[in-house]
Amino acid sequence: MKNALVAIALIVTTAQAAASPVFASKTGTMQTALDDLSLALIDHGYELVKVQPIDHALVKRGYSDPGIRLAFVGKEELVLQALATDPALLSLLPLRLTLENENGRIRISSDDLAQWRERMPSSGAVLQKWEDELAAILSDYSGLH
Amino acid sequence: MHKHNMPALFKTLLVVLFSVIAGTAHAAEPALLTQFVAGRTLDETTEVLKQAIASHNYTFVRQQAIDSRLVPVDWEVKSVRIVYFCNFDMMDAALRRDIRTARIMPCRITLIEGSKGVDLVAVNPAWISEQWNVPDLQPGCVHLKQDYLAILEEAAL
Repeated sequence: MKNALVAIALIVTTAQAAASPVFASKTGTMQTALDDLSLALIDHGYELVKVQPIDHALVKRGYSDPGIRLAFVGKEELVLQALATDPALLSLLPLRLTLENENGRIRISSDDLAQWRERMPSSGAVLQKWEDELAAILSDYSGLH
Repeated sequence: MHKHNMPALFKTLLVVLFSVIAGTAHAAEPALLTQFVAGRTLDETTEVLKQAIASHNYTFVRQQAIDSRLVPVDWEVKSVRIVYFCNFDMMDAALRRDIRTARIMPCRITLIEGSKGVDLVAVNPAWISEQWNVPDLQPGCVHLKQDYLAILEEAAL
């Protein structure tokens, strides 16, 4: 019985862990985070396609500052991979990163590509590659000073 | 003592199993929302899509080729385009509730032109939010999904 419960607990824990988006966090401002992210992206052959300053957009319209910006990132190869694998993957491009200001630390997290791997197993290898690349980019981001 | 605990363990086991089954049942929500627009070009579809966005109280944000800024402008793929839009009231309310809602912002629809028309594809926010296990957020994301569907349908008329 104990073994069965341990096995179930492991399955649930593993499922929850697999569903976590990749993220990295370090001290700084939104601008320094974007500067460092840009450098990390270049090192991995990626481009910063567009920054969506949700914080500015909302404040400008009289709302409170949510401390959030979005960065859309990618490289041509991702588009070609999506077209070759499953055009449905195009709906994930350019890839979205969320920058969140947490009391002086900027946390950058990706969309949850593990969730997509579960739903689109035939595209699993491509999605895993994208997630690995994002993890490497964010690892570099957190290591830059 | 040990024997008395067995029913409790079975109950726990059942609760865990029902939770897993319930989660699987929720997964019936489709990952993508799609609509086919027959007989229109990409440019024509983009225009009617923008009108549908406005008529459902959303603000058009921008449009771009799928590989915009990844290749020189002349080399961009002409048959795949992204349209971004949002509703600032909803954005503000959602972010106040949970910062994770940023992962469904802004709204975006990908347009893929083929020989017979244009496919419109959007990620289903209700499917994304199912994974967060925050029941309070689900109604708002289902509402957003309904808006997506209405916009997609109107664009295809």
